[in-house]
Amino acid sequence: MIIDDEQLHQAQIDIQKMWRFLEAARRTHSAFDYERLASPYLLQIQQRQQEILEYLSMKSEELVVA
Amino acid sequence: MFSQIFTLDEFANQYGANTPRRQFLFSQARTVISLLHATGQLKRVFGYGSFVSEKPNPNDIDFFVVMEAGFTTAHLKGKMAEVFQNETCRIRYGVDLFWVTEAIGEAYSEDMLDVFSRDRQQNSQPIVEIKI
Repeated sequence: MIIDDEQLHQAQIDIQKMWRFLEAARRTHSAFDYERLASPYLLQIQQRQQEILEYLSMKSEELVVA
Repeated sequence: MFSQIFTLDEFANQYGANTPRRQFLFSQARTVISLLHATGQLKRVFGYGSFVSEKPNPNDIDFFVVMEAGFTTAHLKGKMAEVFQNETCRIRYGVDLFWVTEAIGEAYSEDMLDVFSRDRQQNSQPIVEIKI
């Protein structure tokens, strides 16, 4: 769970690293192998994007309480 | 990216011995590493997450595995193929395995190790390399 802007920015950086990793993996691996290797990274991206959405959906009052 | 290097025996003594849960998970991880090694193209294995912590009862073991350039899973069968399918490996062995080949380039692998060096709360967490 993201609790402040610093964690938000780090989560964005991590997602960008995973995007680039998958772009490179798709270029350097066969379609068959890419399909097998990509799934856990895609899941990680999805989970972290969800955390970002949850954080950005919170109102400032909720952030203080959190 | 700094990571401490262990032999498999050192890794077992450090993280796979203290509780029954850890002993069980390590035995599963040893099987996975044996299957990876049997491909003849295993290059590097990194462990991270709750198993590489002081938590007495970790949920699973997280591995980031680099295979030699040119490695493919296309001709693998049975258990050897299963370890390269994340969901199957996680369910069957309790190992959450992320893999890639070194064809991707070291910089991208280092980026992933950097991502894995923080938990979901962005706290630093150790990464260890298991010397094969």
